[in-house]
Formats: sequence, C-alpha cells, structure tokens
Amino acid sequence: MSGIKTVQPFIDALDNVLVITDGVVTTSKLNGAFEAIETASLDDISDDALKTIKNAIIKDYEGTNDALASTEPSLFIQIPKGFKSDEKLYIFYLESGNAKRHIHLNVGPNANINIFEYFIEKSPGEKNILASITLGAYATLDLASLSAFSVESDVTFNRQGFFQERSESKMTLASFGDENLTQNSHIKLLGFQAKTEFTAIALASKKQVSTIKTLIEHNAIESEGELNHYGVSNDEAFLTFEGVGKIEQGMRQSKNHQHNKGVILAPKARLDANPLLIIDEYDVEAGHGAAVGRIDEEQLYYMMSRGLDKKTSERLIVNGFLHPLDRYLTNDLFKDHVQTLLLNKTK
Amino acid sequence: MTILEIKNLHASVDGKSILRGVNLTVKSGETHAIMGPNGTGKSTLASVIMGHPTYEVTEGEILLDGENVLEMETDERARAGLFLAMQAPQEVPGVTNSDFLKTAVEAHYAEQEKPFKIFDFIKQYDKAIETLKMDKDVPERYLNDGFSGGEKKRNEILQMKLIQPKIAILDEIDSGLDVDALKIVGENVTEMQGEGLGMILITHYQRMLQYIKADTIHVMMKGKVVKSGGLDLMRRIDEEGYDWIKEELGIDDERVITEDDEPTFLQTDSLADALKK
Repeated sequence: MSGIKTVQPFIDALDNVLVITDGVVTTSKLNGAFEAIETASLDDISDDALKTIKNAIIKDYEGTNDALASTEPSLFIQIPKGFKSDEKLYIFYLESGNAKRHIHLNVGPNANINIFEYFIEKSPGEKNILASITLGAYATLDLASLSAFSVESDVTFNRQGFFQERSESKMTLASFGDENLTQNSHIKLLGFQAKTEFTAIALASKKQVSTIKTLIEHNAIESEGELNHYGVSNDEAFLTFEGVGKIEQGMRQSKNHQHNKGVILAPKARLDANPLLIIDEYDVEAGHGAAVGRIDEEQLYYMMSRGLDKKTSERLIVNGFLHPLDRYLTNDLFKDHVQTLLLNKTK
Repeated sequence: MTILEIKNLHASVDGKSILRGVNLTVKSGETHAIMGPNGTGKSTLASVIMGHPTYEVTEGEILLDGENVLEMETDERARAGLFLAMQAPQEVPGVTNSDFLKTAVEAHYAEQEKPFKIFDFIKQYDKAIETLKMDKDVPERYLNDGFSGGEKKRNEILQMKLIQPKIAILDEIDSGLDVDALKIVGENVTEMQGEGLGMILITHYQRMLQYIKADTIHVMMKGKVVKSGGLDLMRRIDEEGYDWIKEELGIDDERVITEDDEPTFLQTDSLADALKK
C-alpha cells in the first residue's frame, strides 16, 4: 500500500484545496484571501510573464548540469504580492503513467503563505517531476510536501528554490512511498539575508533504493541555510543522504548548518549520510554532523519492561524521531493517514 | 494471590558469573528488602528478573504463579504482572510520557481482556500526577527527557500506579530523592502495599525503610542471599554495618562486581545520544 487512491475525502474535509491531475487543475476550491491565487498553464500565460519567470529560473541555472533546468513549466501557481492568511493551502498532485512534469510556484514579494502538498500516484510509471519555487523579497513560505508512490514507479523528484532578499522559508519534504526515489533539491539563496530551513525526511523499506540529495547554495551576503536530513531504513532498503552546503566567495557572514539523523531498523538495511561543505569565503559560520545508528537497546528494554512489544516500542521511537513533521499535521485526516503510511514502512 | 519464586538462580554477563544461587519467594502483599554493599549482585537480580538482554541465566528458575518467567520476553513478563522501577530510567526523546504510558496501559488491558477507557485513563493519570506532586506538563513532555533524577524516580512510581503490577521491584528508588520526595514516594508505595502489591525493595540504606515498611530483610553477598531476618537484622546493619555478617560467614570479599568490570551494556551507536546532539 502506498498513498491514497482517492482525494475526495480530503477535498470534502478541507478548505482551500487545489487538485492538479497530470499537470492540469481539476479542482479549485479557493475562498476568501485564497481567491487571489492564480493558476495558469503554459498556453494561458502571457509571453512577458513567462519571460520574467524563465529569467528568474533558468538564468540562475546556466552552467549546471541539471537536465530539467531548461524545461518550461507546464503549470504556474501564482501567490500574489502581499498575500496573507493564517490558513493553509492544500495542493494535491495526481500523477498517472510515465510523466515528465514541471510545476512552478511563484510567491510574490511580501507574501506570506503556508502550503501542504501531497504527490500521489494515480497509476505507476516513470515519473520525472520538477517543482520549482521563486520566493520574492520579504516573502515567507512554510511548505510541507508529502509523497508516496508505489513500488511499481520510479521517481526522480527535483526541487529548485530561488529565494530573494530577506525571504524566509521552511520546507519539509517527506517521502513515505515504496518507490525507488532520487530526490534532488537545489536551493539558491540569491538575496541579501535570505534564510531557509530545509528538511528532508525519508522512510525506506523492502528493497527500496533511495537517494536524497540536497544542495543549499549561498549566493548572497548574510544568507542562512539550515539543512536537516532524517531517515529510517528498514528491511533490505538502501537510503543515502547527500547534503551539500556551498558558500560562494564574498558571501560573508553567511551561515550554513547541516544535520543528518538516521535509524536503521533491520540487519540488512543500509543508511549512508555524506555531508559536505564547500566554502569559498572566510567570514562564515558553518558545520555539519551525522548520527546514524540502530535503535538503542536500552531504550527498547525500558519500553518493553512496561509491557510494550518490540514492534510497538520501535514504532514509538521512530515516530518520535520523525517529530519535525508533527507541526504540519494539524489536521486529523492527515495525522491518521501519515500514521498508516508510517506503520506500513516500519512493520 | 500471586507468587514469585526464584530458585537457585545463576546468571552471568560476558562469561563472568554474577548471580550464584539466589533463592527468594515473594507473595502478594509482602515486601522483601534486599540490602547489601555495592557490587554484590542486587541490581543484577532485578535486571535478570525483568529479562535484560545483557545477562545470561545459566542455572535455576524464576516462576510467576507457576509460569516459567525465563521463557518470556521482557514485554511478556511485564504483561504477566512484573514491574521494575529502574535505578537509571531511560530518556526517550520524541515519545511523550502520555503516549508511552497510554500504550503500556492499553497493552496490559488487552492482555487481561479488559476494555480500555481513555477518559478513565486520563483521570487516573491526572490524579496520580497530583498525588506524586509532579508538574502538570508531564504528559506532554518527552519520556524522562531532561527530567531531574528525582523526577525520573517519581515517573517510575507514576507508571507503576497506572500499570498496577502484581509484583514490583524497586531498584534504589531512593537515590536522587530528597526527604520530601522520599516521603511522597513512600506514601504512594505504601498505599499500593495495602492493595496487595508484592514487592522487592533494593537499597543500600535503611533510611528508605522508614518510609516503606518491609516484612523481611535479605542481605546479598557474593551473588546470593546470605542472611534473612526481620527488623532486628535491619537495626543491627544500621548500627554495625555489614562486617559482622562477613565475619560470621567467613566471607573475605563480598563483591561479584568490581569497579573495573561494571557490566557493559549493549550499546551500539546510541540513538539517544544522537538525538540529544
């Protein structure tokens, strides 16, 4: 089991929902402030607007070897300048068959948005997804992104972020599916004092092979990047974290910190963490660390001595380990759903 | 009526023999204090009864109402009615006290085929927190994480109150407790004695026995019980220490564990340490 087969219960229960099926908006339930949010396909968008966005994305990507960098987005989601709401925007992406997708989210200057998105498999296939984000000056983004594909899919998930002056972003990407996953995230801090906190959570089980790569690149003075990788590897899975913090020359007073934490649940499971710092400037603050290991025998014994069986104890510990996700699961529907996914990955 | 029988129990760690023939029988409502100097095997006995993976039982048996305890996993022993209040309770960041305790109590109810009622549980939990004079935010805090020594010990008693075991072992519950805390713990434990709980109290000092009344005193040396008696024995130990017992029994060195070879526990890369970073 992985993911959900129908999103209808979620649509019914939630406010502010977008459902995007194979790159096309199929449900739009936006009220109040959210009515100002626009979506446009490539055909709908004016040439000028496209040029602006392409300039923002592609110009910064010249010289990188990312194959998808030059792909034109098939869908744009526009959060208007100065947008403000305490509520969340829910976006469901349904993907069928073999798919090559580029979705672009533009958060306008001074906007303040909280998004929960979920990538769901409609039918299996080779999926190549690029989700790019431009974040305007002084904008804030709080994004939780969940994905769960089946074992029959192969997924390459690319995430690009282009963050302007004094923007602040918190992003948590959680992969709970059974697919072989390659996740490449590339965050560029382009503006003065741009700040990002990026967390990738991955659960691997069975014979899954997953690689999670994250690069935070500091192209601005006093920019701050914090990278967290959390992983659980079960059965015969092989999970790899590659985190890179890169501070370009002259980007003084920048900060980059990286943490990798992992739990190995089975004797044949593997989890590698390879943190890296590439720093071309003296006046910076940077550090990285990795802590990967099996569940502590003493903790297990303690919990079992109160009558919890081994599996339940392990699950509680793993659950606790994934607590960075908690603050996003404010909705019971999601809480229960994530619990089911978690149960499937840790049994 | 529950009966725990320990017969000729031998156990070792890393091939080193620690328990060398312990005999002890505990029935519902009885409290047995096990005293003795450091390194004589008292805490090992507690760990072996609960099934700590480090220890290997080489001889003898443990029976709970006739059932072979040594064949049970640690969690099965707990659900059968055994409880160990540990000397150094583990910290488990990320798991809240309430989630943990609820899951534990639920497991016990399921074993006894009793329906678990969440509101009853919450009421009992809140009441127990109050009688143990603990902070109201204990349920939301992570399991023993950042707790002071005294808080951890009270949390052990709190868990015991809700789990309601048949036989409990309290391993140096008095260490880390000040006099006020000791008094509160004493009151709570005494109440459970009255409800028929059978107990093994492990302690260095007789001061705890002012707060929790014991029926029988046992002295452990060289990995077994060498002397048993009533309050007279306790008073004599209090006044004269243990040397007279060593002399009487011709024991030169009472220890089975020296400071150099404290048992090394199964510690792979510790997640607990990792999470603290």
